[in-house]
Amino acid sequence: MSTEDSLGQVLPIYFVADESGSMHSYIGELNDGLNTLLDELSKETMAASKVRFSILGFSDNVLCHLDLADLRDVETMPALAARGSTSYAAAFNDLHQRIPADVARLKSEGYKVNRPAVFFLTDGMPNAGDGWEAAHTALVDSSFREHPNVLSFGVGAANAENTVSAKNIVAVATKEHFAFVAASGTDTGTALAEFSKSLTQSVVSSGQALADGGGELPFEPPENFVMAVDIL
Amino acid sequence: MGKRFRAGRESKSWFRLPGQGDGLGLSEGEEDGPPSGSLSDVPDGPGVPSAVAPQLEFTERPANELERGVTSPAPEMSDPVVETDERDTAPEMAGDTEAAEGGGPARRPSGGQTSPPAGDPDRIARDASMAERKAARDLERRAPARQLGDGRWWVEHPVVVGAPIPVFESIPTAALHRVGPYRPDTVIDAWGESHYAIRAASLRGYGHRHDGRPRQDDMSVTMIGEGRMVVAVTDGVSSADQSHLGATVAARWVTQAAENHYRETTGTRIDWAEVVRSAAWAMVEQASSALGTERTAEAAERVVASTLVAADITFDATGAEAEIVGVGDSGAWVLSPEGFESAVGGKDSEAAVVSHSVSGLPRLPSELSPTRCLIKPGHVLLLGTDGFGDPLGTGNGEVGRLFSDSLLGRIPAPLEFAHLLDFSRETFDDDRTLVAVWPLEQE
Repeated sequence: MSTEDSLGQVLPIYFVADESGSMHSYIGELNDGLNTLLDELSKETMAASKVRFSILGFSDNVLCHLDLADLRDVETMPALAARGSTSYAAAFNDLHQRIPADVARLKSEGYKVNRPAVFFLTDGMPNAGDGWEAAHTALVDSSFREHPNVLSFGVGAANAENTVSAKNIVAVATKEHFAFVAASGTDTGTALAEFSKSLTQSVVSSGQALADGGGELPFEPPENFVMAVDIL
Repeated sequence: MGKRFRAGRESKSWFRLPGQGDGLGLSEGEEDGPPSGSLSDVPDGPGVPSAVAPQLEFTERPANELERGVTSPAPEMSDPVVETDERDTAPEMAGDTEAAEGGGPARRPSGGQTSPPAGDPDRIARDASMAERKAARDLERRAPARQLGDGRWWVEHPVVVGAPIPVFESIPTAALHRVGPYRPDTVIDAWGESHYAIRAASLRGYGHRHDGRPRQDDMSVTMIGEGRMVVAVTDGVSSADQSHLGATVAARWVTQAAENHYRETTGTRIDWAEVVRSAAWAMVEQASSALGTERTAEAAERVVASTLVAADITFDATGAEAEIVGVGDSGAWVLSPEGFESAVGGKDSEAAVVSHSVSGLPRLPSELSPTRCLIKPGHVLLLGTDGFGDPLGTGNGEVGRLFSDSLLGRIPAPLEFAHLLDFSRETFDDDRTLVAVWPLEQE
């Protein structure tokens, strides 16, 4: 294929999942959700052709479970596993390194690349004093050319009853209305299932929105979640 | 239709994250701002002289504009392209078709996956991605076009460039978008005289066929006088729900206003600023009367925004001279044996990440300076929307080759022209409109 050819536009999506020890009882829900996502995308090949998906797990450090991939090429989803602590800093530092390299690779393949989207899911407070705020600023600052849109989701101990963590969830998102926490009283397994559904819909409809030449990231908030900014 | 493509279609109330301005698109070194241009210059009342006020009713059509609804290829209800279990691997498929040539780096899950070490022959064979192998098999299943020897030809699938878009049947247009008159999937027009020929087609993209949205592109082509033609090509901005209406109003207004201008002034140059300004006003009026929006450019922009590229073409013994204006990302090119030369518009292919902030009417550009170009006999002037311009790119790739092979040195039949424009290429599923003008050697 000639290098003069444009292969069209793609949207990189990063799913960044909390793999801290406290996720142990719920990680199965997330893995089920990822398998459903893969199944749904296989039915939506036109949308799938425009999305590239990556799965990162963070705890003390970051494990890349899926390098940014065309999901049509992926036969089985990797499994997340609970381990260690909750270092937001590790996650943001990893994205800051990873995203420009991924964007450059897609461009060298002939694609035009839309601003990446990050879905950040956590069930707890960040490690104290790990400097995540600075790492986060470096990632989302507009001086960073490939700065992504970040959507953040709090479940488990980071649900709506935890006002301190709600503030963090808002701080992680690049817009106040990109930040959600599981509603009080929502069982964590249910919240994760709803989150996964919402992630899947977002991936499918992002492909369709690109098909439509739209510059918007279509996203339906998960059921049983509330906007974190509303937690006072 | 079966279950194919059903998932994700029942989009409920999508919560839209703001995109233009701070969303997905960014371009090198600049944050997306609001679309450039001005809304304030659009007259908010009927300030256009009545002599320049063309007919706006949809039932009125310019006499020389023929619309022919062309149905999509026959449904392939039994075609298993989408539902077949594609997960078997067939290494011998890799590299044996055009679609598999892309190769590319291995894109496989890492971490926890057992894959053979790099350099392993099996792994190399598997490195042609699954998507490419699927595309190759999809191509094999497609019935080739057949010539029946009596002028008939059987074509069930589009021309494929590289990896194809999956085969599917269009779904009906959703009620939300059935505002205004019947809107066919495809419009084709064509005519010619001794000194020129034109071929024009406006097609719904695969994305809109798949999602039940109408064709948001449109076009209008009119002979405004002896040897003088005006072409308008428009692309409704998809964030505006009824942008297909805006695209139609803008295209038809421009050609009719140009024709009126020609009659009144006996052929002087078109005052593009005035024509474009009045087209913007026509969109505001149309949105107000057909959709009940407030009669302001701001309100109209939300429902009927559209890009525009228009040309005033004069044919003479040496070929043609065109004066071209553009608002937004539709483009114009001159195709010669040397390749495609961009005359107007298009997108910035050098941007770091794609920008989606398309500026279109009724937003007026701060400056509208027409581009002039000469088209020799043997060369072709092309005006098209980004549905054509994006896959064309520089014109030096496969899509460019398809069109230069088909349009240089020959004039395709109208239906062949539309069939070409309907080419299938993965990820390129926007509406496409293309008007091609051949100046001919005069005898």
